Formats: sequence, C-alpha cells, structure tokens
Amino acid sequence: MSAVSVMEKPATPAQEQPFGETVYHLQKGDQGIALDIKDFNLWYGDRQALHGVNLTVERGLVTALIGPSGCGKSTLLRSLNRMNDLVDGLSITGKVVLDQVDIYDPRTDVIALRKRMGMVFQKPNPFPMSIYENVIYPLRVDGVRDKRLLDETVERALKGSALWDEVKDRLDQSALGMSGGQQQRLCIARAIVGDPEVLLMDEPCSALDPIATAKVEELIDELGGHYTIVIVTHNMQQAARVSHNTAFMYLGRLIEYGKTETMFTTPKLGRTLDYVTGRFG
Amino acid sequence: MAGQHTVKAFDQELNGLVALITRMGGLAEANLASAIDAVVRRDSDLAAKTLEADPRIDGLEREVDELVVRILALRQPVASDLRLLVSALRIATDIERIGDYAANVAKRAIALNQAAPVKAVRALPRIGGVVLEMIKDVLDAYVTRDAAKARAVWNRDEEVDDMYTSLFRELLTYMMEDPRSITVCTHLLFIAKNLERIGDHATNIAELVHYTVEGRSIDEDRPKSDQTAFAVTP
Repeated sequence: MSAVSVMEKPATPAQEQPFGETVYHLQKGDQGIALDIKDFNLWYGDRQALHGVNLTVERGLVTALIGPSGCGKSTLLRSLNRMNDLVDGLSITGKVVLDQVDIYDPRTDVIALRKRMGMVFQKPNPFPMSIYENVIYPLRVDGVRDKRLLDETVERALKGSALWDEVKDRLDQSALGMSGGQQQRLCIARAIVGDPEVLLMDEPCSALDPIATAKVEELIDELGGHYTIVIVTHNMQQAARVSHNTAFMYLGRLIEYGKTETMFTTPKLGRTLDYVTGRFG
Repeated sequence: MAGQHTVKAFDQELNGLVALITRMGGLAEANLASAIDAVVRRDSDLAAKTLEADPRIDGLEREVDELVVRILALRQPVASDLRLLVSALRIATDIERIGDYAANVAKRAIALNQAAPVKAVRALPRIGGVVLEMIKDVLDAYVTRDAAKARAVWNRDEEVDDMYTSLFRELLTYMMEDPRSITVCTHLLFIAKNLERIGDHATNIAELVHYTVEGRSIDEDRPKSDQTAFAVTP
C-alpha cells in the first residue's frame, strides 16, 4: 500500500463531459425575487456567449457569479442593466424581468433602468472632482439643489460605505487623491446614493490590496440585506466569504446555482467541484 | 472528483498526506498482529520488539499534523479537498490510539508469559483476526476512496462487540472455577477490551472515510451491542 493516489477512477474529466440540466439549490430570501432571468441567450455576432440562462436573484441577498475566464459571467452582469447595448452585432433572446417589467422591452427607458441598478466596476472610477461632488453627482444630474438635502445625502452615503470617518474633514478635496480602496468605496457610495434596487459589481476588488479588499467585503456584507447585490468575482474565496448564493457558469452556461455554503462544501455536480477545488479554470 | 489540480504541488502534497496515513495504518496493523502473536505464542521477545515500534507511529502522527496545517495555511482548500485534510487529522489520531492499544497488548503479553498458560487464550486470535481485518479493509477503503467498503467495516463493529461480550462471560466463568486464574484472566480481559476498543477506532475511521468520499456522515446510528457494562456473574 505504498503507491497511492488521491485521484479516484480516471473517468472523463468533469469539464469535458456533456452539459446536463442546470442544478439549483439556492437559498431563498424573505423579500421575494429582485431579478428574474428567463431563457436568456446572447450572441456577439454569430458567436453565442450565453446559452439559455435561467436564474433568479433573490432580493436583499448577495449573489455571486463565478466561473473561469470567458464563461459569460461579466456578459451576464452587463446584460442586467443593458450595458451591452453598445456592443456591435449584439443580439439576445429571452427576458430579464425587474419588478414585472422586461428590461429588454423596447418601451423600457434605459436611463431610468440604470438608475434602479447601481454599478461598481473593476477599477475605481471617481470623477475628477471633490469627494463631495462625486457622491452627489447622481443627484446633481437629477437637478437637486437643496444644500441641506445634499449634505445629508453625502453623510448618509459615506457612512453607508464606511468611509465617513476617514474623509469627513476633507470632503472638498479631490477624490483622485484618495487611496484605491477609498476610491472604490467612494464609487460604492455614489452607486447607492440613488437608492438603487440592485447593485451590480464587476470584480470590485481585483485592483485592490488585501486590506482594502477586506474593507470592501465588509461593506458588501453590511449592504446585503438592504440591497440586492450581484457580484462577479474571479476570487472564489471572495465569493465564498461575501455571498449567500453562488452561480457557477462555464462556457456560457449556468451549470449550478445554489447556496454558497453548499457550493463550496458539497456541490452537486462534479464540474462545480472541480472548479471550486482548483482542478480547472 | 476526478481531475488533477491546476497547481501540481497541491496534488503532490495531498498524495503525500495519504501516503503518510497509509504508512501509519500499516505500522499499527503490523504492531497489532505482532502483539496478538506474542500473546498466543508466549513470545516475550516479539512483544518487546512491538513495544519499541510504537513511537514510530507517534512520530508519523506529528508529521501528519504538520503537513495538514501547512496545506490548510497555504492552499485554502474547499469541499472534497478540505474534507480529506480534516479527516486526515482525525484518522491519524485514531490510528495513533490503535497503536497505543497494540502496545498495551504487547505489554500484557510479557506479564502473561510469566504465569502458567490458560485455555481462554484461544479465544483471542478470533476477535483479533476480525479487528485486524477491519483495520486492513478500512485502510484499503481510505486509499481507494471506497465508501461502500468503509460502510462494510462500520457494520462489522457489532460482530466484535458480540465476540467481546462472549469472551467476557467465558473469562468470568474461568475465574469463578479457579480463583488462581484471576490474575491471568484479568490481563486477558484487558487485552480483549483493548481489541474491542481498536474495533471502535476502525469504525471511527470508516465513518471518516465515508464522510471524505460522500460529503455526509454515515446516516444510521452506529450499531452498539457491547453488553458487558450491564453484565453480572452468570
């Protein structure tokens, strides 16, 4: 019994096996469904990037999208607030329903839609203006001029994004002078000022150091419950730490979507297990 | 689970861990076989050698501990990999206990050899044989990740408990018949109890193998039929 191997039967690796039905075991929130994605297909030209995705986002919970590069997780996230509209040759079928309204309905006001969905990007993108002006920018666009309302909003948003104590004495200074982690939390503050129903985050920590990452994760944890958050992350441990439900995507398909705890301890599919344990991707 | 990790060093570490556990188990199994032989064949030299071998098992347990802690810290394993590591720690503890019991059997062999032989000794190889088989099978199940084989070992614990109970009664009878045999029979009783405990540890390992492979515990209550705690003079 000396030559032993951790690997069992040398069957076909899970990632090469044919695709079956998506397996679901998600945790339900107590506030219903925020987003309902139905039979969603998406093509860039003649290349199909998403294949029949069916996924519901529970209101008030944090949902993580994971999967190897090119699996379609960012494409899916960007489809939720129609950020992909500007891509040439894009075509879609299926529905994304927010509050009983199909966001791909031609009558949908895209600008109004995006106000209902805040978005935070991979690299912090503060505007070249003061910290104060950055936070209230969405209100300025809407023409709000009430100074007291603006002051209150800034304080509430910065407290909400755990930044208030760090910047309250320099609100009039340029946001570009903040650290990367502070800039990202500022962007989150700006994203929640309009009180969006859903907060979309596309790799929000991939440009941050571990401490800043921890602070943003702590923030996501605090916002969960208040906000519905959909987060795309390459960092599986991050998905495990911050989300309630995790969706595993591969080659444009939703493979398994379930409770995060189960996804990282006893996933139902071999393909998911291989991915979360670092066997491919 | 099938494929290899993208990081090959991780696979090597996990393979190394399984190899360590297997070596530990092999040593414990060999020591127990020698200890039982030493009792049956009244071989004090063999018993002494068996006693000397036990510290090697303890050393391997420390190696397992260190390796597991290192892998946990450096690789942040999840799911099946995490279960393999957590189980390895506990299996190593069980094997170490098996080694201790085997050493205790060897010690008592030396004591027994200073007294006149008794016939009750004949019952020991029977229970010892079953326990040795359990250890061998559970180690095989561990290496081949065979949950069904682990469950089969788990089911055998009842058999060991039954054999122990009947041996217990037999020894009580001998002691009543001839009070001069009490010293020898008491040693035999402790040896039988050690073997029964080893069966329990093999059962623990079977549970851990099942958990490692399937991700959930063996879903029935453990069979338990050692009745000697309630036994009175027949």
